Amino acid sequence: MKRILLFLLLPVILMSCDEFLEIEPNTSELDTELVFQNDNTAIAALEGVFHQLQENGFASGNIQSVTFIGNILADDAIDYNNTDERYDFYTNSLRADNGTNYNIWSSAYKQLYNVNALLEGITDNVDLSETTRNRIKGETKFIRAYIYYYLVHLYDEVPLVLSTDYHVNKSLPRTFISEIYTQIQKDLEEALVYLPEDYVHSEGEHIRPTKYAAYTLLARLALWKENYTQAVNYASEVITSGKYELLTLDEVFKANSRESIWQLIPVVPNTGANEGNLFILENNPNAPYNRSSQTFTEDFLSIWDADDLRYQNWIGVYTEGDENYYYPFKYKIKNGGDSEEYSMVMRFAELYLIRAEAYAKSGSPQLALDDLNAIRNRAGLANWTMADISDIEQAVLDERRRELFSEWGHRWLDLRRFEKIDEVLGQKKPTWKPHAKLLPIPEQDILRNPFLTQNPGY
Amino acid sequence: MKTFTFWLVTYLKYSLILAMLFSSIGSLYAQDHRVSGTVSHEGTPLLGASIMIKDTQRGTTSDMDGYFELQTQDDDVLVVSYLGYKTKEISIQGRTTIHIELTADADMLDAVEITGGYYSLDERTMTGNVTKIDTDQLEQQVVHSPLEALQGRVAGLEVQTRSGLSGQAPLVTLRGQSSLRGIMANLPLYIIDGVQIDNAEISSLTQLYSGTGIDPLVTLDPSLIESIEVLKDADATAIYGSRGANGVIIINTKRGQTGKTKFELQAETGVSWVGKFMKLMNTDEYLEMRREAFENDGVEPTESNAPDLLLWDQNRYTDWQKELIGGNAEFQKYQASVSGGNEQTSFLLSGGFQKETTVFLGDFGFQSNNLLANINHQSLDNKLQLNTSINYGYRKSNLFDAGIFVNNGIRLAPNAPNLFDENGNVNWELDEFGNPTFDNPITGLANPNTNRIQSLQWNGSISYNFFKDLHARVNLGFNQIEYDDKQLTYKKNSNPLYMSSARSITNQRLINRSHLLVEPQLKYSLDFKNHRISSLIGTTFQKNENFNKYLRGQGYFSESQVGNIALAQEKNISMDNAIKYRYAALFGRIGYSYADKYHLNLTGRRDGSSRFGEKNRFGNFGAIGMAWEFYKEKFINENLVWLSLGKIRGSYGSSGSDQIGDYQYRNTYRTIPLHGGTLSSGGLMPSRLYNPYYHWEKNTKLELALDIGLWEDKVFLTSSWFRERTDNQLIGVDLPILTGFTSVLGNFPAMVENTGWEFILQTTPIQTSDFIWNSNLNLTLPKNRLIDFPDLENSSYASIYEIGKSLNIQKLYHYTGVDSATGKYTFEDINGDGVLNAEDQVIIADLSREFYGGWQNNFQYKNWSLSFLFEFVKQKGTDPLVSFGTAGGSYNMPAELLDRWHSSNSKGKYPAYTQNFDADYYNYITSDAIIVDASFVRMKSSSLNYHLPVNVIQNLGIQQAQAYFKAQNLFTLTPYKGFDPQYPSGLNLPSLMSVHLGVKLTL
Repeated sequence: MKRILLFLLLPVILMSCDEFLEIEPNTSELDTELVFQNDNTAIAALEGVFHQLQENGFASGNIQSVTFIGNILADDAIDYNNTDERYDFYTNSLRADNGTNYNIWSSAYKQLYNVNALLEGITDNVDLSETTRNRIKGETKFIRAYIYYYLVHLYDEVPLVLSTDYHVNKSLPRTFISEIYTQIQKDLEEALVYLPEDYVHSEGEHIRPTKYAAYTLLARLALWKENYTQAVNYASEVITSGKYELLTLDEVFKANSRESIWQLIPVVPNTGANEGNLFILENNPNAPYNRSSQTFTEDFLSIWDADDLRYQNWIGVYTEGDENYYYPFKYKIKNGGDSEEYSMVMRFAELYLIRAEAYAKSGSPQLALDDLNAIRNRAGLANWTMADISDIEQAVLDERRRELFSEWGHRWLDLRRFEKIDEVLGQKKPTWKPHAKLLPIPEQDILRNPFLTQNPGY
Repeated sequence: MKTFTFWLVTYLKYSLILAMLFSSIGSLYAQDHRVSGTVSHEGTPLLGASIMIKDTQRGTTSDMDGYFELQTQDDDVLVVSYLGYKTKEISIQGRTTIHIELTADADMLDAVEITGGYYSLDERTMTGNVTKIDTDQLEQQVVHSPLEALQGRVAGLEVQTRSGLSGQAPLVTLRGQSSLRGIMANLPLYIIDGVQIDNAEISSLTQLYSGTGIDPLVTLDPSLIESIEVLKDADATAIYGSRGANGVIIINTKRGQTGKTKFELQAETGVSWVGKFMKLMNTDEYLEMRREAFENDGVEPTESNAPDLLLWDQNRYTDWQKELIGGNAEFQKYQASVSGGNEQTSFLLSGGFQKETTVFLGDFGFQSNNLLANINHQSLDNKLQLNTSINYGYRKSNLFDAGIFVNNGIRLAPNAPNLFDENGNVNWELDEFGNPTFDNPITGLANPNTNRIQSLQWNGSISYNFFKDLHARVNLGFNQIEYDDKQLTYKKNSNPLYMSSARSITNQRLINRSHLLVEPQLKYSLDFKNHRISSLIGTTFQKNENFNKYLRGQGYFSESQVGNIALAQEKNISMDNAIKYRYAALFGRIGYSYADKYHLNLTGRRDGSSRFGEKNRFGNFGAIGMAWEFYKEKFINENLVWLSLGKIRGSYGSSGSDQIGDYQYRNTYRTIPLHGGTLSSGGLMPSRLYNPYYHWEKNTKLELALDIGLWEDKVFLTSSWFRERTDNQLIGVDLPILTGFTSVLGNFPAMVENTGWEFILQTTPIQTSDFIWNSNLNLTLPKNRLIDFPDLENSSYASIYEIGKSLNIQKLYHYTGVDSATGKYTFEDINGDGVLNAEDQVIIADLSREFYGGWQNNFQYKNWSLSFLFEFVKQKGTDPLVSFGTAGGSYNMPAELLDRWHSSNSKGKYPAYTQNFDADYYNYITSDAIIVDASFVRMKSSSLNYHLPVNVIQNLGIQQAQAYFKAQNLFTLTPYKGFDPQYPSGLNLPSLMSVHLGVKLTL
């Protein structure tokens, strides 16, 4: 009997409850504490941010990116897909719950969480080397500034999230633009301290931000703040650095080109940069069941000088029957060639245009013209003289459109910064409404955060 | 039929006598001989009466003529029982033939024993609420899953089949939604032969199973099930503690019966089909709609934007519903079993094979096998009892990948071209420039999905009777589900436009879930004078492991290699998870009865779960149950002679839930899955917002009930009222994405209440010697309410919930019809601010069931028996229009949309056709216009059985032979226009109509 009793009770004796309930973690997860105890894992967490930026969302260059929707929001491109909610960007009649709009917003805030988590992870951290901590500090502060730069200019006032504490963040109201600008400025100035001059963190590849990326963003911001002296100074830092140059047009968008200041490496294999994959037309964009891509508007095609090499080199045409469809052809590869073209985030030519704009708006038209000519020359055009120009500011705006089209929504943001958006789009787009100059704060978040208010008109 | 439960009860009741018997009479000295006889009632032979030798597990059942044979000893006592009749004990006293006459039992329910999980109960004296469905009721139905068999049969239980595709997990909700976590978090606990089965759905690569996924019980053949018990109230579920909050469904598989070795053979064949199609436009109507849409928009139709108008045959008509889902699903099944045994050991061995096709166009289907082996043994001194069961199930599905195949397929333009070209390849109907003009739904069908599920369940128990009524017992259990799913995508099936960059792909998903369980227990019971005490104490240790792998290979040199990931040019593993879960508990129960009239039960349980952070692992749960059998009181007994049973019972207690996913309290990073061949080095990303502090969610249940039996239980009515409240809701609290994630797991002080009335009326209106009519009506009146939600208006749930309303509401715009001037939808701008947004969505529509139930009838006339079940539900649903899109696009529409606004018809019910994206349409489908009546009455199942006369078959050496016919969903009465009012939302494949024929032989 004892034998049996022992046999039956053995399991109870052998197991202690507390110990029994201890389980090993999921093999595919790593405790956050451990991530920040080791340089390799901390760097991996940092690299994850760059991967995710390219993978999906506002920075990806895919159909839900600022690049893609910026073209149809402004006067550059037509969207044929009239059965998708993306069409509402083209007609500037967005609903507040538009999914693409939410994706832009959410992809930005997700990466803000990630960079804030990295910054918190290195705070008071004695396990990581100083090199690692400094690298993380520099790159994350830059990324944070970069994300806010787009959020604030697409949506106006947005909540300023600077920590990972969801108790606080879940009910943040919108922050004044001036405060966001101050934060961007502060983050970039700190980033300048820690970012390297060269691409030492990416084995020479232009896929991580450097000091010059920070200067570029500071220069852009200075234009919005109408601080033109600053804009000139920051832009000049890059222009005179000797690290970058204007290349012949078919070289510009190549991986690690001397014109690139910061690029993102493609993460989906065999598609190369998303922009090339999406924009290059190999068939009729207006064909049934294939209305997925864009073509240029008549208006956009009318701004070119026939000798402009950019018109010849950066604009492609697909012909079917007697119809011609013009498309962005800055990236040359539709499929494959991952290592040949990277997705361009910032490039050298923009600095000339930033400086030109700053000069033009601060009463130095000749200096502005010199910078514009640098860009025009590269496009095979002769120098402009003052006699050719009636309105220098307009000349800058037009040149920006010709140089920076189909990149990062420049045209859309330029029209806003030059305060010409109503005038220009009101004329060209019959469906234009003045409130459309700001995207709606996604209703998905307004419903979940009652302190978040909507932009007027939505 | 109820061997297992009988076994348990017999064991407990007579263990003392048994011990004495065996010590005084050595079985070696007893004289063996054969006894035969008949069992009858008023001259009618009783089929299937149980004849057992008292204090043993040996016995047999009577055949068609009431005849039985049994090997006995001279001094054995036979215990003869039959549902609805008084159990009789007869001493053999050396006789060789015995005729036994049973008398109808007023206490009809005496024979219904409930295993209740850890202890067995008598339904008559029970304090809790348990509904039992036995094998007869299961066998009457055509069902793929044991859970589906409960549809309409159990008061308080909602079983919703989300599609008619075999294997789709039904949505099971017992006594209403209690958790804000959503429908899948409200599934009851499933226990098979004492071992928990993970109730989480198996998600398949083919999106045909989207929504609820594949049923984890799909490999358990309903014909192997002896009974299903549904435990509802606090008293019944408290022993399952933390996991019993949503109720418990206990499935007991069949057990061996002692007696002559019996062979059973069963063969069944049948066919299923879609019984109802929608009324859609024909070619003329469709083309008229398209032309008018272009005209309204002022757009000229061109070959590129309107191939259906300019390129395709204008006279062609195909009814795509019939073409794509109008097939017959054929069914075949063979099952064989052998059972028998002697005094010490009994066994059952059963195996089956089943084959089924689908209603889809093409050669798709399922194949499954099952095996059940069960052995029971007791030692010569009857002190040691052992039993073990193994149940293996295998199911292979050959399907395809087309998630919204049904939806896309039936919306295809009625003049769309042939699906295949002359060579049998996918037809793209190219235009002159080589552009496809056709979104061919066949591309999905041509990409095969093959998945296999294998399940193995083993359980065993050892129990030992130390002295008197002290029993020790250990339950052991192990189960494993293995799932292997392969989805192939062939380059040749891709759109010719993308052919150059398209690649063949193999996706594979591997899942392995296992549970290991050890439960040592001690039982003690004591009887003295009018007092009876029974007690139980036990512990549970449970260990789960869950492995998930996701593999992908793409790019192949030859299409014949597709399916083999090793041969792909690029391979990657995007998921490789090993998730562990452990669970430990201490539980106990004490029951006390006085004078067999007053009953009191106390249950308690302390649970620990690894799903909680270290400080919050343990939770305490308990319940009290009471019953008073007032009809046994002298003053009632004497005055109300027609009252055959009267019992008031009630219970109150708590249970909890830890269905929240694993590791949620941990702050972690995870590796970003990479595509094979990418240049990116990937990296790590945060896994979630973490909260180390969340703790058990508690659910309190209160039930009061009255059971009344009249006229010898010819009428039996159970009425129960329940109230369940769930507080401290453990939910993924919705957060704005500003926080980096859209939710965080935590306890939320919202309280959800489910109250309701349940009625079960069992009657036997007619009972003569050769005709019996039984009827069983159940009705549930549920009410689900959110009764507390602090600061709801300022929370992320403000747009979803409303205090005092059900969780299943929608907040909608108020639709005000079509503007007779513009032909556009109009809506009420409730707050008058000139903009239509969430603030105007204030109309509340409740989509929960108002009442539901089932009405079962059984008729037995001589050798014939007929039964049918009606299921009825009163509810609202969403109009199928929400799945069709804007009228005027290149998709077909319900014919009712012909009544549209046009400059010549300003009174049209629907707006002007347009081929553009119409934002108003999205407002329309979130307006009150789409809420429609989706109530229904359905003939859920019906069956007709015929037992061949014994004199005909006996010469062939056959003991019993029956032929049967069964049908499922034969007709439905409903005002709902969509496919299936049972799931009134979307365009899923509806529940199928089925007709089956079969024979069953016992040799």
